[in-house]
Amino acid sequence: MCTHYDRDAVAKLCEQVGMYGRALQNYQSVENSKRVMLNTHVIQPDIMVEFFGRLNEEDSLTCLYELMRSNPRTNGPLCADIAVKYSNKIDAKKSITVLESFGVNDGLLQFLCNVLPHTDDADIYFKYIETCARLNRFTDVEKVIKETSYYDPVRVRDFLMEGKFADPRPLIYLCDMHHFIEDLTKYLYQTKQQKCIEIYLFKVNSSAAPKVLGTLLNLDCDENYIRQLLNSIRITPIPELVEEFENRGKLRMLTAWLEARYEERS
Amino acid sequence: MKILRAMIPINPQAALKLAQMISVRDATGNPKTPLEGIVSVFLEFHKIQETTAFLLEALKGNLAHEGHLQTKLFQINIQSNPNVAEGIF
Repeated sequence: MCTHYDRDAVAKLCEQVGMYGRALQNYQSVENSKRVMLNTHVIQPDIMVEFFGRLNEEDSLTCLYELMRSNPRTNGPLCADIAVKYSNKIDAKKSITVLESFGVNDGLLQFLCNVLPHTDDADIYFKYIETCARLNRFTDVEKVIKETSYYDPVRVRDFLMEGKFADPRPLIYLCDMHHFIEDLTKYLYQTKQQKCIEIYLFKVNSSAAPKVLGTLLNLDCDENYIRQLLNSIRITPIPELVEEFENRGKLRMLTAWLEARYEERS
Repeated sequence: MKILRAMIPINPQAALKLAQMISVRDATGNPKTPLEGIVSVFLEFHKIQETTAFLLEALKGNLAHEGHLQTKLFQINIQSNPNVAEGIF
């Protein structure tokens, strides 16, 4: 009911006795506010959110940065909440830069999860994939790869390959969907993840066999191993398979397999 | 005011009632006795509780030109009784 008092004077008194929330509500200058807001442990989140409502984009970013700097782990989620709440005012990419600047990913992920449904920006999608992968959340990476189309497949592919992550499934699905089968085969073969080549061929997409086997031939892979893979596959586009082997002068490797398929038909 | 000053140490509750009576607002909205004077008498005797009660009632109209008294109200409570101050915000 009182609205005409000297806000700065009252804020100063509040700060002196540790009433930081009230101090934050009443200080008129960003400089003073910036100092008291750091006492996040005793300031109600709604007071903090309301405070950011009074700031412009530049001051918001400075204050978010200060909060992150003072305690990235505790303040990360709070900063994420604020960045989400004012995402119409604070540019999402700038928020991301602040949220990731102290090497803590939790707040960043929280922010990204909230903005992702409202954006088609490839950079933000990439950032989401990158953050999930860093936090070992591979099912989330897989999901976004399968269910959305806003990310840049080449950039994501290169990132997943360079990262040498424990779970290759996101990379496998990505390469399958975006026809990077040769790159995938080469990567899995050179990083000695033959098991993953098998999973891809037998469980994910057997129609990729011509490309996969052709690439393995290019890489001078052991022919016995290629035969072994071939013999575990029944259904795959035969003309393409023949073409891949023929181009490399290896048609004879297919003879037994083709005969078996012929037998099956009759 | 003399009576008020004499009453405060003896019976602060009655003094508060008297203060409220003599500060009733006239037709133009001005208190018959200046609020500042009443407040300073109460504060001479460190009667924070009575000063608070008096100001809360007297400042109900939330008038711009009485902002300094609102500040006073916060000041005395933040320093001595933060919980009460919290209730005034």
